[in-house]
Amino acid sequence: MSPRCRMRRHCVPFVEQDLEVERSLEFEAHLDTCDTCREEVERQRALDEGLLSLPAPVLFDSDRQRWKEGIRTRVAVPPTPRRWRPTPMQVAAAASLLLAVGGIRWWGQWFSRAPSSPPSASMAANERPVPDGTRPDPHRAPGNTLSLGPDDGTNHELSEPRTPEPRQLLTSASPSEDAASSSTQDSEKRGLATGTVEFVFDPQSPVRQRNELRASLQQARNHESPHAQFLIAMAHRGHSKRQARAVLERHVADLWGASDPSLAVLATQLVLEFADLDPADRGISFELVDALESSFSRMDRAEHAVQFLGRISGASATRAMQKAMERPDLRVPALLALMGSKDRVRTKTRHLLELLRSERDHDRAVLSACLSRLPRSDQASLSMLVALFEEGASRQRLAPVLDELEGEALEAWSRGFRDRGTLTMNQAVQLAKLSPRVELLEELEEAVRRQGNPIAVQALAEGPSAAHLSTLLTLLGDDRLSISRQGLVRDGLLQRLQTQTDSPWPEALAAVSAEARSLFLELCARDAGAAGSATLRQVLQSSALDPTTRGLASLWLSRHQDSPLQAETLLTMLREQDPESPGDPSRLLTSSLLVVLYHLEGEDGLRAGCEALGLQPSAGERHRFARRVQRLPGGTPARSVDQLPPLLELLGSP
Amino acid sequence: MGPARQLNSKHSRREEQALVDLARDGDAAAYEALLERYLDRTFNLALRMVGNREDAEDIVQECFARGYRHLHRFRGKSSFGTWITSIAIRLCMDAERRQRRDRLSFGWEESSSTAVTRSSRESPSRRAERRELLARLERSLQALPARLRAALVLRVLEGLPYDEVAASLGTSIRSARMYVFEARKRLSTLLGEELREELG
Repeated sequence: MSPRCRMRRHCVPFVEQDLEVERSLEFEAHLDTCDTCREEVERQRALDEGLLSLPAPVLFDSDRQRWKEGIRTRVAVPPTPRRWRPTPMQVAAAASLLLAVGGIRWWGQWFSRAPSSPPSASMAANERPVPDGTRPDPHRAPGNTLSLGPDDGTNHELSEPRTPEPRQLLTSASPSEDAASSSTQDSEKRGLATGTVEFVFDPQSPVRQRNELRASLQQARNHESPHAQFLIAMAHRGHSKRQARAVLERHVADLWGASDPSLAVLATQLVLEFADLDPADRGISFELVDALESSFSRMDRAEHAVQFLGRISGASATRAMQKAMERPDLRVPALLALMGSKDRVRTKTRHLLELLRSERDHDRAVLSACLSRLPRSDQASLSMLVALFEEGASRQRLAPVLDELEGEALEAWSRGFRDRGTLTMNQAVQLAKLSPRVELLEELEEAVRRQGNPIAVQALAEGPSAAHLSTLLTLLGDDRLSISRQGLVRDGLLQRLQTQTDSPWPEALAAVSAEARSLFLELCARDAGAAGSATLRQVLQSSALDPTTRGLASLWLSRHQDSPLQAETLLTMLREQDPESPGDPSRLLTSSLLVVLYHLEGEDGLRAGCEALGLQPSAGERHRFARRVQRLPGGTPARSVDQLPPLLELLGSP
Repeated sequence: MGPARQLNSKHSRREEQALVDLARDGDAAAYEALLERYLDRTFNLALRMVGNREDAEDIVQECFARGYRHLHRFRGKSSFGTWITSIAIRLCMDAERRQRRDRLSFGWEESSSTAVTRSSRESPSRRAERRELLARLERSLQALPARLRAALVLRVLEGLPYDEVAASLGTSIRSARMYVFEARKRLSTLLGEELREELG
């Protein structure tokens, strides 16, 4: 029967009598024919017997009485009260309450300011005649009227009402008898924050609204300008954001047909800003999409139109984008706009693959530009990138392109995710899978700790830097890790040990705890064969590591069968050691080397070692040293660490 | 588990629950009766887990004192023994963590004595070999990760069924099986062959 007998998994349950009767009988019959399983069963039974033979603690009545007394005392003394700490549930409840109260107050202020606040004294004093088209309707609530204060050379905040938008930039404007249209010239002379603008928002009068909006937009050449912000504030008043955006959109759609493209661009920016302000607002009307599409043939605004379409969701906008891509003059801008959009993953993937498969240098440049435009914080884009690289990896001729992209795009991606604080463990693992150059160590460590993610372990094990290895070693030394995860980490380290012998182990070891170092040395010695031996030798000879670790490495090496230490190597190292050297203050390395030398060469080795150190112990001293060495505990060398340095004193070393 | 044992177990469980109820009402004698039932098991477990008698004694006392203080939290979903064992395991793990922090070297204390329970007719050298082997087994057991060790001790040394092992460790039965399996695998890899030759 082969050593990989499938029935072998029944050995332990069989020994523990944990198998069902039928299965047990079946397995018993199998044992007659299978040496492997029989031996395993015998081993397990011997183990059980060994465990049961371990000395059981003896308990006397006096012990019991003493303990009961101790328990009574402990029960009588009340435990130290723990400092109160809120539980996560309590924190969450408090946060929700605060948010709810804050939200209610915010909305309360918002509504109370809008229609019902009486005009302030300053407003009354600053009241100016308004042009006919913009004169307030006396039947309208006073809150629907906004006026900007006089320009006296200083900035005034809008006295009433205020918009709660964070981007509010409303500043003072100069007093002027003219209407908004006439203040354009003033604004050009004195900046955009000049000119009295009194704007009455009246959804019942769309024609007047459109004219006024046009006039105001002409003033606001920049959507960040006070005027644009003013318009946003206006549109918000008395309307939901969605309604406000719809009103604006109705007006701006026809601006795309107007002669001035900048006005159309500004108007669309405002519309999209509204869409961005309200995450629930998914729809942009067909009217605007049609307007944008109709301007493809107009060179002065086609690129803008394509860019805006990229920001608009929905099938109609996607169809319009498709049409743009069919036009040679708009293909690249449309592709770039498409890449920047938050969805359309399938369309994006299709186009990226087409670019990837293309032989043209131009397309490769476009591909690179497209990759740099992809939103770097969403899972869909990342999945797309993975698909792209997998496709690329299957085609040899694309390897150079991918290599070129890998360095830039992936590093930029990981930085992008990190900077936004949106990198999830899965994303980190996916990114790390794409390239070992991506350093997302904290995320990978978390993925191993929390998920036991084998790809994260693999990414760490294949990582080029010492930091990758340090992370893996830290995990090795973490006793809170579950067994299966510990197993994964050990496998990862073994894989690395056996595949890359020139790894920066000393640097990695220098950055981890003493326990992790000790466990790693044991792993090298016990499980990693010749590769482990080479690594131990590397550790022993590394001056970057502390003497304890190097001493342990020498002790492990002395037991290693694959590549035992040479006495000459040890003597050379000892010659470099001064017993009083500050480099080995604990003198552990020196004493370890002597012990190993004694193990290898016996009395002669010890004498040579002493000579190398400049010590001249008597025969009696050497004998006492040898006796103490023989009494050192077996098992892992870490057990004898404390007992090594005093050995030097036996040889006359101060 | 045979029907007779199940019946006994049910009977004993009912009796135990009655003791718990009494203890909850402040009956110290009832708690002492519970303590008597599980004192040995808890001490054995603690000793195997922490490796020295002083700490094990401390853990046993703390475990039963905590058990008494928090008896109102015991809902009777598992047996009292399982509940108190789970407290003991947590205390052992805490103690081990403290120990590990405190000591710089990673060895363990030498076992004070490793008695030889085999026939005294064996030759002295054979007995010495056996003693050495058992000492190594004890050290290897101590070197296992705490959860594996607890699972193995409860299963093999205390003979608990897997559901109780799992409940004591606060894990699933499947995981408990895996812990025991892994612990056995590690020990038998280290010492299996020698044990087979020596004891088999």
